[in-house]
Formats: sequence, structure tokens, C-alpha cells
Amino acid sequence: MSSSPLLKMDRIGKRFGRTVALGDVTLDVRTAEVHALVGENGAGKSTLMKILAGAEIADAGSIEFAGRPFQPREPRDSLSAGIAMIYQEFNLAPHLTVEANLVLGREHAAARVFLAGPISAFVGGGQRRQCRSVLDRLGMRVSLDARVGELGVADQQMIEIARALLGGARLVIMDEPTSALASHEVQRLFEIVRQLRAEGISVIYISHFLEELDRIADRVTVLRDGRTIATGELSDWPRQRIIEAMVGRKVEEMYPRVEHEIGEPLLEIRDLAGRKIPRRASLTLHRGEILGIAGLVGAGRTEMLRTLFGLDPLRGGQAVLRGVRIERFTPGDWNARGVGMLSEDRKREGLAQNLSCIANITLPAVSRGSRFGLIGRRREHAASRDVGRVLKIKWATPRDKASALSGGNQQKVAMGRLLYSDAEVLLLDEPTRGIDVGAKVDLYRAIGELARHGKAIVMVSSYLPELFGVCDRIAVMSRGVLSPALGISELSPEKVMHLAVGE
Amino acid sequence: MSNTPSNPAAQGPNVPRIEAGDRESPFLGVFRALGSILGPLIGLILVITVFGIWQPDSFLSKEAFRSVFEHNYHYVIAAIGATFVIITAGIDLSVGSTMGLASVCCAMAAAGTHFPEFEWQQGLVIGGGVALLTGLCFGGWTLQRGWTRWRACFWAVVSATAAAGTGLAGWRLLSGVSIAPMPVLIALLVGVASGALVGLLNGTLITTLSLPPFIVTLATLGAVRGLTLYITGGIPIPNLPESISKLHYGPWSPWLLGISPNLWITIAVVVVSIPLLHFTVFGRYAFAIGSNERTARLCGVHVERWKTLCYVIAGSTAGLAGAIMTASLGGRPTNFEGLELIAIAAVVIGGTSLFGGEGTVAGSILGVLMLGFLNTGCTMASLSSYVQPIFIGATIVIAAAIDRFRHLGR
Repeated sequence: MSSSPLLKMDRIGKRFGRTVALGDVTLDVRTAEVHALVGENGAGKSTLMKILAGAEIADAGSIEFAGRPFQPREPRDSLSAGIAMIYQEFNLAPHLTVEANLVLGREHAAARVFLAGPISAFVGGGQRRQCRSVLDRLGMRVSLDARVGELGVADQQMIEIARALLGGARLVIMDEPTSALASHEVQRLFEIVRQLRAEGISVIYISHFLEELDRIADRVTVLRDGRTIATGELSDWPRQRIIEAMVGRKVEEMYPRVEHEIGEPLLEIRDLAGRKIPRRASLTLHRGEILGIAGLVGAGRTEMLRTLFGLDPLRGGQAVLRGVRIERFTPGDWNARGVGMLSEDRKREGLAQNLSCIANITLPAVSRGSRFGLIGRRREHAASRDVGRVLKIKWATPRDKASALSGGNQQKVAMGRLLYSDAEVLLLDEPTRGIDVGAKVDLYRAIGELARHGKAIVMVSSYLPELFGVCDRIAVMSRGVLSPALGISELSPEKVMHLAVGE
Repeated sequence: MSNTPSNPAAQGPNVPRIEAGDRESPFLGVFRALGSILGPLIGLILVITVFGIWQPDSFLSKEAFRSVFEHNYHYVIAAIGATFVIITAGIDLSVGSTMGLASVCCAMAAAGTHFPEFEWQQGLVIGGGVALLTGLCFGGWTLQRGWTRWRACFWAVVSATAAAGTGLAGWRLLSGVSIAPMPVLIALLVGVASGALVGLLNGTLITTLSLPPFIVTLATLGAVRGLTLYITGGIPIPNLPESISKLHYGPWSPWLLGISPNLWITIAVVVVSIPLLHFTVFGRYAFAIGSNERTARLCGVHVERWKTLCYVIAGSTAGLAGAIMTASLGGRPTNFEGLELIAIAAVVIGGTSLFGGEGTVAGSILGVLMLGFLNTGCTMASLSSYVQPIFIGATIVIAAAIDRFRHLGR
């Protein structure tokens, strides 16, 4: 392991409007090392990596790459310097062939006329041969003429890595690379990462799965609230210490337990099936219960909630609410029966960004408190303020547009909607994704209090400690099939992961 | 993870109580309302000032202002309807055509009309058209609800067949019938109803087939104009009764309180539409759909229903605008060609965002007045009438740019 520095990011700062995304971040990566970057959602990892990849521009601080000052203004700058980023959502053109994707943006002059394909094999200056050799280096046997959209997730990821190598990358950033992979695919990815390290390429490795770090990383940097909290050799940083550095408090304080009693069954779902996923999901939800749904990304957790709520088409299944069989699965009907949903996609679905917080909070129940169709404006203002007080929403006035609030407060507004509409069953899809720790704790407490008041909560989350900290029972979704829910005392994170990958 | 009892100081998220004490100074509300139409208001004052300085004698006269009101009140009605649609992030390009159709329908009702004798060929075309639209909409609707393709297809064909029969039978009943001249008020309602039907068609096609509003209303823009020309044979409706032209004396006429019936109708539309958009549940839904349709759906708003209603409102107002203009323009099938652009321009100048979720009725009215003063001013300054569209175009760009800056400034 060489120790010569490759990258030095010094006192990096970045603001978005009123929100400080990065306060003071320092990161240094050595040549030929795997450097883990960890932190809670919203800690600033993505922003920092986007700055490095040229997708965002830093407000403050300096970057030194390979011994030279480096100021990326756009992604092309970073690519030509030798920094390649592999996003969680791949940047591939699914309709183009493997070869076309590999050479996209750097086609050989002649090949630009004929594009990729058999013709370019004659005029492309050995481009096709280069592509083939890179794929061989990664041990991939896919055809260069296969359409990328037809490949599996793991192969698509390898194409991304191959593209980085083809571009002469010296530093590869991987953002949550294992979140969509099965365990044997994770194994293969780790081998590739080790191979890259052996070839002298550095890797910045972002992951939520801390147990992976022991297998792959050399050093670790912990971010929290836009600051570098700690950095060091992984051997000096046991998992518990990393978690405490990430969270900034003892783990026990993170999940405030609110005593709640579990009552009679409220909602029963049997054999719910959507267009593709979920294939089969059954569960029974009781009053005063918090039921967690774990599983890999793409296993069908979100789709299950959406299908149940009538946002995605239903293929089959039954639901019984308070002993009454439900015939129509539409958001309007569920809403009228006291079932509400929180979307995982705050920006595009969760909130109407350019409407006021009042309008957002009262939307499912505007007609309540209205007379002859006229909205009682004073009532809704007062009620929104009460919701704000309960959830500790930070706003100047509830008339503020939702877009003016920080992520955590926006999520509280979306949650406040379910309080305002007095929903008895709350379907929460990743309720704490991308928000700061303080807001998380507020939301956990609110969820606990709701359970104490006899509401029933389904909570989908990709973050296992959160599920174990908050839920009474956990069910695991694996390839569209939901396992029976088990009490958290009968489960362990390892067991959940086993169920999730279907082993 | 310990099961410690909760902190007693932490307040539980109970159902929020409604407190009577939380109230805000009414002045603030007024300021807020003013703030949202500040842009178009300044624009209007600017236009009046510029032309006032340029042509102080002719422009700052009672006649000039009168002429602006006289020539623009129907745009006010049409622009209000367009505002509802644009706030849902949609667009209605068929406004001008709808006005033309409504005007002709109103004139035919007022003058009396005779449906042609039944012909199989014509009946089949009508039945086929109705069947096609019904089948498409029904099929789209059922597919959206998650029906399988074969089931949706089957029922679409069934519904289309039923619709074809109904259309054919309806035409059979109507053909050969003579209709006596109707009273003016009923004739106006016929005009409104024809507009509402076009709106319903627009809304249904857009919501059931999830088509872009631009495409659907572009299609109806052409089709409705063609229909208008076809039913009139391209010539104005003859024998309009005297009574209908009494609707239009000009704004300061010897009628109720010295205001002509047409202007009263316009005032009524304004008085109804402002609270409808800004203070009712329906209005809130329109804003929510425009701001983020997916959020609205998540919150249980019946997006398709309310969106369709917005298009029906736009069609009805266009119908009303066309119908009352029959008083001064007569029932000519070529009336109001290209007027949709003025209505949309007025709405945009009035500060309503084409991206949806933001806008006011008052702003659209100010937008119409601004275009009106611009027009009158150009006429009085003896500028060529070819220059006016250039000015209007420039105004739209400036208004849209200001809107953009406002959003970027945040």
C-alpha cells in the first residue's frame, strides 16, 4: 500500500440557499487505497462527491489532485483529470449497445461518423479492441453489441466501471455500489475493487452497510452535518465507534422509545400483487403498532405501498380495514377511510414545492373546515401552526412556500399532512431519507407518539438500525415476496439481510 | 435500544386543536394579495404612462378608456377561463375556435334554425366520430385503472358501439327538425353549453388518455373551427333578431346603472371566479394539481375529475365570451380566429406561471387591460396595425422573463 497522496480536499464549503450542505470538509485519499466515506443521509457525502465529480461547484476551499490544484467546473473537467464517479442511478443509455456506451463522448474521429458497431470496427482505430480488453480485464463476457438495457444491474455497474477505466481514471468514486446487488454479485464487485487497488487506482467507497467496510476499505472518513468528524485507519475504528461518530450521540438517544400498546387488528392485506412487483405480500397491522418493512432496493417495498394505496395498478389481492373488505384501491378512497401515505420522493411527489406549507399540510382534508366549498383560511392557518409546533417545524410562518424549507422540515410538513388529516393507518415510505439527525429524532418520536395514540404505522426503510430502533415487528421483502413479520427480539440485522437476499 | 418511558415533557402529535386566538392582521392579507399582482399592475401603469406622455391629448381621454373596455371585455371572460387551465399546468389552445363555435351556435339559436334532412352518409360519419372518441376515452380510462389489455379493449369496443348507436339515433331524431327563434338569454346559454362541450371533450381526452394538453387542444383548435365552418357553410348566420344586439350598447349605456348587459355579465364572471379560484376547495385542488400532480394524487385528490372541470370552465367561459360577442359581431363563422394567443398572452402577462401552481384571476384581468391599452395606444399613435402584434410579442417575452427572474432569484 503506497502512501503518496492523490487527492486533498481542504476546507470545502457549499450552500444551497439558506441550507449549509458542507461547512468545513477535509478529505485526503492516497494512491492505491480504498477510502470509505460514511455518514448519515444528509451528512454531505453526495454533495462532496458531486463537487469532486464536477457536478457541483464548491463555494469555499481548495482541491489538490495528483499534486496539482484542481478546480472542476463541469463533469468533463473531472473526467479528463482522471476522476470517474459511478452514481447509484447509473448514467447509461439503455437503448445503446455496450460499445456505444463505453465510448460515449470520446468516439474516435472517424467512428463519430459511423458511430459504434461493425463498421466502426474497420475505421475506429482499434476502439473496439480497447473496449474488449477492458471488459476482459474485468472478467466480463458480455457482447459489445448487446443492448445495455437488457443487462442485469450488476453487469450495468461493471459497464460503468469499464467506462471509467477506459477513460483513464485514477480515482473511482462508488456511491452505494452494493445497495442493489445480491451477495454473490457483491463478492464479485469486491474482487474488482481489490483488483483496481492493485493496479494503482484509488477508490472512494460510499456505503451505508458498515459491515462491508471491514472487508474492503483501508481508511475511513466520517462526515456529519457537513463537517469532517473523523478520519483514520479502519483498524483503529471499530464499527460502534464509527456509528457514534456518524450520529453524534449515543445510539440509545437516537431512537426515543415511546411506550405504546398493541391493540386489535386494523388493516389486513392478503396476497397483494402489482403489475410486476410485489408478487405476493400479506400482512396484518394492529392498532398502536409500528411495522417495519426491510429489503433491498428494487425488491418491491415501495411498489407494495404504492399498489396498496392505488398509485400503481393492482393485479390482485384483498384488503380488510376495520373488519370491512375494501373494494376500490384509490388514494381518494383510502384517504376518506383514514389511511394516508408518505412518499419516498419528497421533491417530485411528496410536496407541492411552490405552494405554501399550509396548502401542503391541509391538502388531503381541505374540505374539512370548509363551508359551502369555501376554505376556512384562519382555521387552516391556526391548525397548520399547531402541526408545526407538534413536529417542531422550523419556518418563519406556515405561509412560507415548501421549497423555502430545509429537507428535514419539508419532510415534517409531509408528515404533518398525515397528522392534519388524522390518518389512522400511516404508510411511511423511507420517512427519514436525506434529512438531518435532529429532524430524524423528532420524526421517530412523532411516530412513537402516534402509535401511543392507537394509530397503526407501516414504515419502509433501507436503514436497518432505524427499523430495529423504532419498530415492533419487521417483515422483509425479497424479490417481490413479503416474509411474515417477526418481532424485533426474534430478529437480528444479519437475519434480515439473509431474508432480504433470499438465502 | 432500551424501552424507556417517553419524556413527559414531549408533547404527543395529537389531532391539532383549532385555536381561535391565532389570527393575523387583515392588512397583511391585503398586502399579500397586492403583492401577487404587483408585476402586472406596474406593467399596466407603465403602459398607460408611456402612451399618456406620448399622446397626452387623445390617449388620456374618456373615449380612449371607454374604447379599451368596449373592445376587451370578452377577452376578460376568456382569459379567466384560461387562467384555471394554466394554473393546472395545462393549456387551452382551442379558446378562439370555441368562441367562434359558441358565437355561431348562439346566433343560430337566436335566429331559429333548421336541421338538414336525414342522410345515411352524414349519420354514419357522426355516429362513427362519437364512437371513436368514446372508445378511445373509455379504453384509456380502463387501462389507467389497471384493467388487462383484452378486457379494456373489449369494453372499449362495446362502449364505442353503444355510442355509435346513440349518435346515429340522436341525429335521426334531430334531422329535419325546425327550431323557432329562442329568447336571447336561452340563446346565450346555448352558446355557453357548446363551449362547455368542447371543454369537456378537451378535458376527457387529456385525462383519460394522459395526453399532453398542448396536443389535444391543438387538435380541437382545428377540428372545432372546421365544425363551425361546416355547420354554417362558411357564411354568416342570417336574420339575427334585433334583440340580441341590445346586449351591446357599449359600456356606458342606458341600461341598469348605465352599464350594458354585456359588461354586467363580465362583472358577474369576475365576481364569481375570483373566490372560486382563490377561496374554495376546488380552487385549492387546481393549484395543487398544477404545482405537483403526483402530490395531489397522493393526497387523495381526484385529479382527473377536477382537471376536466378546469377545461369545462375554460370552454364555458370561451363559449360565453363568444356568445355575448354575437351582439356586436354577428354570427360569422370566421370570428375570433387566433384569439387563443391573446387569451394565453394575457394570462401569462398577468403573472400566471405556465408551469402551473401559481397565478391569479386579477392578474389575468390586468393582463387583458394591459394588452388593450397597448392596442388602443398604438392605434392612437397611428402606428401600423402590423406593429401591434410585435409589441404584444415583446410584452409576452418581458413578462415571461420577469417570471423567470423571480424564480431564479430565490
